[in-house]
Amino acid sequence: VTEPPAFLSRLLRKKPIELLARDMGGAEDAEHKHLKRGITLFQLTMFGIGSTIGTGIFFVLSETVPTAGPAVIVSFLIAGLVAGLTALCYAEMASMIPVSGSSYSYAYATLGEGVAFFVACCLILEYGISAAAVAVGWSGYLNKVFEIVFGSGLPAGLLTAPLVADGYRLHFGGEGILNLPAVILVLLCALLLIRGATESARANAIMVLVKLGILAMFILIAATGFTVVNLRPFAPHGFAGVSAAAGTIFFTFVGLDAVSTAGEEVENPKRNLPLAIIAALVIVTALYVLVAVTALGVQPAAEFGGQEAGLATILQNLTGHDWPALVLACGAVVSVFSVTLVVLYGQTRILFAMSRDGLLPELFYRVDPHTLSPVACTVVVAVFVACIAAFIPDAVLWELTSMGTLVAFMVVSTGVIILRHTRPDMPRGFRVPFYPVLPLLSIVSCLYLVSNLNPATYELFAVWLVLGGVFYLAYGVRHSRLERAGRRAP
Amino acid sequence: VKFLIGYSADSGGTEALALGLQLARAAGGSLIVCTIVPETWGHPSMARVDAEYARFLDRHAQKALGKARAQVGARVPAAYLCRAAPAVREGLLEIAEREAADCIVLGSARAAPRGHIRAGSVNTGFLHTAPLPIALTPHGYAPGPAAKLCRITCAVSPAAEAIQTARYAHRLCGRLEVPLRLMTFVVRDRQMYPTGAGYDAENLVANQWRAQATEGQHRIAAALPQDPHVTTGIADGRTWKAAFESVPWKSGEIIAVGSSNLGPLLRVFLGANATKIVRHATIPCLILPRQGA
Repeated sequence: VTEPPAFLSRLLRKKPIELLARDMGGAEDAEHKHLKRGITLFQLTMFGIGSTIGTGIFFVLSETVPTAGPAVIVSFLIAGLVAGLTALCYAEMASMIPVSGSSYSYAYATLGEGVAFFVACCLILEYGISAAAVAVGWSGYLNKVFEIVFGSGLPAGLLTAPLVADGYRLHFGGEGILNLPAVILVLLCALLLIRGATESARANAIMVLVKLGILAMFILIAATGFTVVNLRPFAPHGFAGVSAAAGTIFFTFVGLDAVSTAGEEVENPKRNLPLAIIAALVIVTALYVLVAVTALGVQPAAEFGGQEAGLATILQNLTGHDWPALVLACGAVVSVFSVTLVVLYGQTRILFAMSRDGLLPELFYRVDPHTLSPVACTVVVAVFVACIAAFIPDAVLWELTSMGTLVAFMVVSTGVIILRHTRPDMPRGFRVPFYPVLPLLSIVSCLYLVSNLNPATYELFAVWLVLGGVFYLAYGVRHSRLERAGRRAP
Repeated sequence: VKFLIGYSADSGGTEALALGLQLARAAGGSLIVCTIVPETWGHPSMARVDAEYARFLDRHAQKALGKARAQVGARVPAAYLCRAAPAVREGLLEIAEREAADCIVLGSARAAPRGHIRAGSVNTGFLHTAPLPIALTPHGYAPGPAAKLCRITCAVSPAAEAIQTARYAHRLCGRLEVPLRLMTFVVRDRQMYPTGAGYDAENLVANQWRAQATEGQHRIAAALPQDPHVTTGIADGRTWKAAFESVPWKSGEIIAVGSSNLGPLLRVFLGANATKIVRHATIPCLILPRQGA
């Protein structure tokens, strides 16, 4: 019996890249060459747009306009810039590993187990919590469809969470019992995942068109009611309001990392990765800003607060007709459904990878022989996300998602700098330009956005990290596959 | 061992008979070649309603059976029957029970693409109720007259009920004196786009499934009686078609699949994955009834 490895070395142990490649590699890789998917620049840009739009633009104005006023436009630009910086850093780290994985797997292979587990905790916020947040927003649009089609929506008790956020501090109150549509959406998506449904590259392209179509429709119609007076005063709460809103808005750019993870699967990653990130970012940001500008031009800033299915309601009020709102709401219902599916999928596969590495119990990686999918994992994720979507208000969820994502990206950006020093020899398919300025800027800008988040979000985040840390120390560190491998080695 | 052939004077009948011959020769068994004709109105009546039609049907059936006789020759003992029944399935099941047949052999639907199996109107019924194994041939199945059955591949999954299926297939192999191969299908065509979990995420699931499959095969092999002829294999691919093509298949090989545990005990009931195997198979399929624990 050998001595168990010292604690620090356990925290820092890295998953060998060969092992990662074996885990993530296809069966044919051993006999033939690694089958590249050959994702093109256009496809990759579509992936970026597809996974980004839908995670927030449909809902976020009602929360952020009261904070920033019309200057929310600036908040969008700031959040977009930060998202771009982080995505570029992430792309460099992803390109160091010859397989396409999540930031958890990249961190495990380059920065060590402790960091990887920490990143995974953040990723659960980025995926699990954002799935819940998106589902809550979806329920608003579904209810809007009901209102227009049937004349009345669902009872308020079944549409809002029982917990209310009072300055982000949670307490019971209000008339809500649970957010039923959000729960149903999450469970439906889980059912589809268990049955093995997928969104193919083509389905994604169609969804992108749906989203772009309804947003373009919104911009065109809202532009007809544009009144400059609504934009004054531009920044009633000064720059502090703008910064605070930018932190929340960052949530709407979550999903851009779908581009970075493509890594070696892309044709000519050196050229196409940054191009796709920038192209997707520019298109998405431009759309967001146009949506925000036209929405603000139609409706005074004071009216945004607490507006459900915001964009549809604005169209309804502006035109006096139901049909534009109905088209927009239906489009949102369809496309946000697909976003929820994709995000939940990402969450199950990240947990799957973690449990296969031994950091989570075996339950999470068992593949069911009948459906050929990880059923137990999907069920656990769905129940977790559904509970959160049912009981917690969306404002808190957005901030938590932003928090998790920003912190994860800070780690990644720091990792890029560290690895340039510790592993300068490792081949990189893509290197960030303007090193070290760009990664440093990325870290600083993330810190800036994080610092503007609400104190209550810090508390929740801290509780979550402590829970994660305790679990890692109690379970993960001892069951890690590397621990077993280390023991077997002489 | 008695093989009941659902015979008709078309390509499906010829295929079924060819497979039946192959099986009967391997097992040293016999054939019951049966043609089902529509029931006529047999009650006595002044106008002799349907009598001409009945005569026509009888002539037709005898002609068909004559063709079958020529195909079988004297290679295996065979009985030739013609039976009138309201439905083909009903007639065949009745004969199977009366003659204590061990397996029903059927041809593929005429609409099937060449070399593949599709369940037609007759087969579909069998695949969801039959109390005995059902063998299906791909469309255009034509083994040479000297072709011999050389192996049975049994599709298994790591699910608990697969052990029963494998046991059944193993017993069958013993009677037919051919080796058994256990095969698990690892199909992963479920990559989601776009995804933050990476574009190789499904490989991870597939690799885990492969590990579970290998483990399951060892467990099944250990549960079978000691037999050096049992081999194992994993059919791997992004689609069922690719998976099927990824492993070598011998001519004269058949693939056996078990029934879903959603169906009744001791009956054939094709499950979702078994349906996909049958659909993509390019060799004859043997669908086994569901076995009790």
